Amino acid sequence: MEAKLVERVQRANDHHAFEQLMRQNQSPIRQFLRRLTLQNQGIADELAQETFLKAFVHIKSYRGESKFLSWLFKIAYQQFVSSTRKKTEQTNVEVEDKADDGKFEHRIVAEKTVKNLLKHLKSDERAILLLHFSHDLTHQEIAIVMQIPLGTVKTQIRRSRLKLKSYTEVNDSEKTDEK
Amino acid sequence: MKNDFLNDDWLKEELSDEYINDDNFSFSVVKKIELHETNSKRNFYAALVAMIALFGFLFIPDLMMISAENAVLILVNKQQMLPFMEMELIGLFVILLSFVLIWSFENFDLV
Repeated sequence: MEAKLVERVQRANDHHAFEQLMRQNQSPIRQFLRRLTLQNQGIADELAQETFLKAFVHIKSYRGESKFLSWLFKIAYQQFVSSTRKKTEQTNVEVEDKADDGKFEHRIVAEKTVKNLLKHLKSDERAILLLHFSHDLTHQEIAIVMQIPLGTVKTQIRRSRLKLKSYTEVNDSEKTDEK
Repeated sequence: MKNDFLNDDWLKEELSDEYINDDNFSFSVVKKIELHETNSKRNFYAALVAMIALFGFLFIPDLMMISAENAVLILVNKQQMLPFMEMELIGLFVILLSFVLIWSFENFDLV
């Protein structure tokens, strides 16, 4: 079904077919970008729109070697990376810088969910975790989407998990000290 | 919570989000696509005009010279019309070819 829709867009720039493809795939792409931009819905949806526009323009380059959604994730991640490069003053970049300076402990009180803890990870670490656990992409698919080696994907997943775990440990020990 | 970070199913559940779907989003993207196509057509016509102008610039002097020569010769010898007609046909063919080329660029999204 999806392959037929893609073919219709490739052959005749069929807007109606592309709209259907968008309906089918907008949710994971928008969820992914919202999490990547730390729930900045305005920026995330703007990036999602740019992602679909780019997908429409370059749809002839999609040869069906990967899942259509994986191809969209690849474009979405590229859009996110280029937008953060352009806007260095963006909030998430500030959070990333602070995440590595070891002064995050004071801010993580009352952060109980994994989703909240994600902001302490770098954007590439966050992307890998989200693609794997939230969108069920395999390690191989993530390597293609993010254009990084397969080994790096595996290492990053393990490292990010341990990082999140260490943040909760800091959080717990702070609570114990307060008592 | 900390011990569950090694549990795949737990992490999947924790990281799952609510399904997002609204027609306004698709509508906005389609509008952007239409705008892109309009802009793309503008580039197409700009390229077309540039190509025709270039070919015109290259061929008009030759055509004018030939036609000036032939204007006299036509009256004398009708056979002399042939080179001029040939040149004119070649010119038209080149312009037509540029149309076809630009059209195919547009289709392959290179413009």
